[in-house]
Amino acid sequence: MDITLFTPKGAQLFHSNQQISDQLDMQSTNNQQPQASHTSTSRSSDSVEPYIDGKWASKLLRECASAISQRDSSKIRHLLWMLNELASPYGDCEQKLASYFLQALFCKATESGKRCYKTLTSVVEKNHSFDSARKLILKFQEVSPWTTFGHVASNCAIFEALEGESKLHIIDISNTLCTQWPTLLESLATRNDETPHLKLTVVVTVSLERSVMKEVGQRMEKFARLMGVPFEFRVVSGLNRLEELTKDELGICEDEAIAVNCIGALRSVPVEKRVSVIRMLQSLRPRVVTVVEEEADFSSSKLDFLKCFEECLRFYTVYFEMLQESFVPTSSERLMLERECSRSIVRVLACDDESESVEECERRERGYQWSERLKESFLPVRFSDDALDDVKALLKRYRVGWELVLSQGNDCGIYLSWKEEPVVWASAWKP
Amino acid sequence: MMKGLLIQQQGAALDENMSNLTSASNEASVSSGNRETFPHQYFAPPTQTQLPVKKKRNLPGNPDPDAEVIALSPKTLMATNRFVCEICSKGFQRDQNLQLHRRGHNLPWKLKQRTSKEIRKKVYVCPEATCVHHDPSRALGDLTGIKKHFCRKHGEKKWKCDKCSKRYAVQSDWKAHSKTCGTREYRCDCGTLFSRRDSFITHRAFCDALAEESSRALTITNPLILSAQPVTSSTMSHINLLPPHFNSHDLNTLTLKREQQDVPPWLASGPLVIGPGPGPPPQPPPIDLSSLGHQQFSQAQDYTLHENPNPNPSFPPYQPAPSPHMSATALLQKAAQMGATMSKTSSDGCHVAVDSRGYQVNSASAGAGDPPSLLQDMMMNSLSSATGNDGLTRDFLGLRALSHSDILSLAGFGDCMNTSHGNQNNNPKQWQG
Repeated sequence: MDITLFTPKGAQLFHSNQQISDQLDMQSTNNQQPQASHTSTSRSSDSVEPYIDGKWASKLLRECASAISQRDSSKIRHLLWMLNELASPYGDCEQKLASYFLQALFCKATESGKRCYKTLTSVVEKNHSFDSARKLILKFQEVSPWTTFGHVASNCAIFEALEGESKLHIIDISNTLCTQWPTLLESLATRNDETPHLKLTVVVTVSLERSVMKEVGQRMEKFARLMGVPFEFRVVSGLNRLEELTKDELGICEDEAIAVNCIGALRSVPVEKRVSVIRMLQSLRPRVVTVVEEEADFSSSKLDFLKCFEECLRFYTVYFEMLQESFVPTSSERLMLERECSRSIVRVLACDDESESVEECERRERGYQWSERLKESFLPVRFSDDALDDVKALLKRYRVGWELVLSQGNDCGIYLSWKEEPVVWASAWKP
Repeated sequence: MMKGLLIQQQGAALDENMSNLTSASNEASVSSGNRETFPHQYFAPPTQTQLPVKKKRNLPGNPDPDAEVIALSPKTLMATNRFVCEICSKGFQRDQNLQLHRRGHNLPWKLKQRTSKEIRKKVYVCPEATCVHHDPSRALGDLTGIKKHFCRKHGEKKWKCDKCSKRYAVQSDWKAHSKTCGTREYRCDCGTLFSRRDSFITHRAFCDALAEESSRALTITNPLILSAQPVTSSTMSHINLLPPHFNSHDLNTLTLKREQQDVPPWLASGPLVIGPGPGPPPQPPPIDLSSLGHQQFSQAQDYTLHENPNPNPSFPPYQPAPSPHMSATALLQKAAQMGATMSKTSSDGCHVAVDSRGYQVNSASAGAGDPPSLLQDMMMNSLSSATGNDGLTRDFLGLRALSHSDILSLAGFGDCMNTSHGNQNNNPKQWQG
């Protein structure tokens, strides 16, 4: 295909749209719509109208996805071209979504997802350092409770479950770079008559430079010293997949009280292996398992591309809008996070059809889906009133729009919602 | 002198009966007996020269052996406002207070007078059997103190801050906290200001400034702690000459344990054996040093930080140490401040916990070569040197023997100890992400 992608086209929106709509009018056969490129009231199945105002990106993207699933080459080409004209990773939300989804759809259409993904990740890895990662994570935590919600809920559950124990072992399966733990360390130091000994084993599920985790470990050790908490830090890395993790690698001792903390970790396990990973966690005999995941269902990618695409679009629209409202417009951290999304989107939408799948998939599932799996090996733990109060107090510290939603019916856990859309799910489980 | 004694006795009576009018610092009394003696006496702070026979106030939790032990029931301790005005239904904790209130309604009132016989000091025990203050030998001397202690430690935390969801059993603690909650700012020594405690803590853990201080301090500390030389006076004086900024960094690396316990572990379990001959301390040095460093901070705090959420100057119910009530946040900040100030100047004002004139070495006991004994010896030395100094002395590394009287006399705060952050000590359930 002769489409060049990722040429930033910020400023020429209206002009391009006029051209595009003219072109379309010439091409479409059943088009009864007026030539103006502004909003039209309906859309016939054969014509494609660009909508400049409102949610034009989602409409165009949907059309494109549908064309891909129907393997309508000319339509695909056309839509990709249009999207390319309108999209920009530096524009507004619509333009960004268009840009990143365009990339994924292009890869899907050209079956180049894996290569694209590898390129994207290698670029990031080269520039990844402790400082940049730290800055990114901490800034995000400052402006949005997206991650801190899970941290606070999990810390509460862990603290309460391990109360009274003197030797604690927390197995942290996450990529939070231990930003969850300083406040727990502070609580362990201040709320106990006798400060327990804490061993922290971190299992990293993304590939990171060794130096990053080393630095993280050093900081944690120093901080624990400052807090007066006897502390031991270990990293389990070199793991290709979480499903390969064994009990032995975790260095568990008999007299320890164990807590397993999974933040955004289970989604990197292939869907069919999830139950066995959960069983492995059960075999560790933990006092509590905290699971935090983002509320989206990308599990149907192989079976039903359009359904997965819809869900992806929905979720990332919310996410991008949230990022837009939380950060200042010129924030480089936001750009980093958006780029991270772009990799995820490519991975979810375009990396399925190949014989070897990408190393880490990221099939998110919703809270109720995780609950069903976890219930096979664990019992849900209700968050205490104190925990809920703390989460509410946390949310108050951020901008308006964030709410705590309790689960209903068969689900367990609690949800973070943004503008009434549940986005993050946090839960606690015991054997 | 007589006046001094009268003040003391009057003070005891006032404490019990008139606390709506008086405070523990013995302000004006309404008792008819000795009124004329008070005005000029009260407002002059008693010093050693004015009142040479001033009765020493005992350590909290170490009562006067002659005192009468009173065990009140939990109901009594938690009761508030049992005396109610018939006119306006206002409740009072004591009958005397109600009587005074009745004056305002032009109702007849009568105050009970103190009997002329000598007052026997009363001390109170905690009704909770598992509590350390249940034992009469650890009774508390102040009624308000025991009430607050009971509520804080064994009571239900009914009062909750809605900003940060911290919980309190004592209403006054909650009120005091609410005033300052959210208004505080936290400054890291990298210069960043935070309005949120949780972000401050997380930032601090990853801040480059922390990493730097620690590494710098460690390089200086290590040779000292790992020194295998026997302790001699010459060694000690050599140590004494090390630059003062050493301390602050040292303290930064040291664990700064926020005081939460009834009895700090370093006190209760007696890790520091003060006796003939050194022995290895049961806990690793960092923790020992930490508590001592902590103590340093708390002393500094008395000068600088007035974050006392409990303005009521009652005895801290159970603390043998001088106000180790500094919150973890304050410790982090203090460490930061000290890191900054200490590196700038070698002598500073009250802010600096290290007093360069402090350390006086008497004879050093012979130490065995290993590091733990070095520590022991320094502590033993500081113990012996403590008694000779006035309250402001702080020894060099903050290594102190940890007996109660030493701590208090060192602090010089025998009577007016900075009281409680006690409210914070009752497991404030606060989770921050």
